[in-house]
Amino acid sequence: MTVEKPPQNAALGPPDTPRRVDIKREIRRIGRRQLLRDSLLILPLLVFLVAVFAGPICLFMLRAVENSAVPESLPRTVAVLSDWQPTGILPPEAAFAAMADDLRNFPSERNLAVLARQLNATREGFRSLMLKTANKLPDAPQGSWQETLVGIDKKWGDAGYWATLRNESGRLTPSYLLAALDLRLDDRGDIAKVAPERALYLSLLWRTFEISLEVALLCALFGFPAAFVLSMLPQRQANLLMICVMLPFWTSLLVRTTAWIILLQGNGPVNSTLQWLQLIDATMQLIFNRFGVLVAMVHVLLPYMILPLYAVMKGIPATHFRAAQSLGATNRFAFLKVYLPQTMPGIAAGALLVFIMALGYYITPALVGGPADQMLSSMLVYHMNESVNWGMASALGVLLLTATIILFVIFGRLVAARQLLRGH
Amino acid sequence: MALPPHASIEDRIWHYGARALCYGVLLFLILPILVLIPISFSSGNMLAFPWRIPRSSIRRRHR
Repeated sequence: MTVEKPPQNAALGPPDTPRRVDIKREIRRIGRRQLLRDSLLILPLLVFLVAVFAGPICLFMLRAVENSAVPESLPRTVAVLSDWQPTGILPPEAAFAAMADDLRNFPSERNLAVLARQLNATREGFRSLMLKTANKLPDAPQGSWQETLVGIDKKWGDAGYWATLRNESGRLTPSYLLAALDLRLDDRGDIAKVAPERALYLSLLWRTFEISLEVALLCALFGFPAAFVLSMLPQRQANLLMICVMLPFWTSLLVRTTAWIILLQGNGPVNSTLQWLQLIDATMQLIFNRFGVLVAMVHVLLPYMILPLYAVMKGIPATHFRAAQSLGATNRFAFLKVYLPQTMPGIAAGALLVFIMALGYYITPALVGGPADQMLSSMLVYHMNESVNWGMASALGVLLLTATIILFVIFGRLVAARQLLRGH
Repeated sequence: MALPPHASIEDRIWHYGARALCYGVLLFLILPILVLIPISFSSGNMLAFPWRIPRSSIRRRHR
């Protein structure tokens, strides 16, 4: 109680009181020092994570909205267009003059190609328009600049191209993120749906989630009995059988996927065996379709399900089951009401791990899947490597990351809610 | 996890069913890895399963 006394009392109190206050202060000081030492210990990890993980991800995500090419390469045009309202009529002559001026003072051929490609990604036809105009641009206008530019390419007489330029004139652009959601900015600058035949990404996102969910469910379905039997076996036998789980786990993803290509191909062992057993007459298509993708992905991800489940099952005392039996429960009842609920953390952890890992899969669907089994990552790689549209690639990354985080939060809420309900 | 002598038929089905499924899953996991070993002996340039082991099958190993 003396420790709780305020300082002014301590000064007036008996001679031993200040020392007690000192002890309290000392304890707090030691606690603070310990906290500081602990934070120093995790500081290297924190710095490392920020520098090589969080930082690059944030920087790359910024690319999804960054747009420096248009305002930097066409500064005069952007300045003129900022006063123009895109309502279907062409911009004033000043805009045409500014465009001609910008194109004549272009820093380099390469910059022009980059700009043309970026604009072409938003509106088709822009690449040829920019390159052609820059090529044929005269030093002086023939008549007005508007007549000159329209003379070079009729597209300059289309207000839609100017509207696109205006939409893209900011330092930040929403176009990539909108495109990742199958939306676009129309000529008036409003958000609109893209034409149905060009809508692509939402169906890909949906398919990605569908495949991941199927893989996670299959892994839970097959991983549970495997982990269950392994956890019940004598330790020596279980360790021996665990090699069957660990060996694939340590083998490269590419090797395992290739193994499935060989096994499942038209004249591969699986088909030959089935034909030898006379279960099928003709060769069955087992690969380059959804079946092949599911088999290969379940094979790759199953250890991630079995290992956490095995650890959880090992921690469940066998006495619980026996206690339930001795209290009169049938085997099935004891399993469903006593054993199964205790394995739930393992099932949840494993399924979530498998699901989230499956979301980002690229190599396996690319190698053993058909065109209808490609996941969102394949489009991301296409934009990174082939169309060199990094803005679009990072927008797809943002889409996948956001969708995953939302699902993760929902999942966390569900699990927490269930635990709350069980507590009552 | 031995079955007690008084185990019912249902218990037996579940017991052996779980075992069979477990061994099936373990085979599913390990077989593709083991299958890669004979393939490294196949002589062709295509990835194929060597049903008949040809004479020059050791070639790939020596490379």
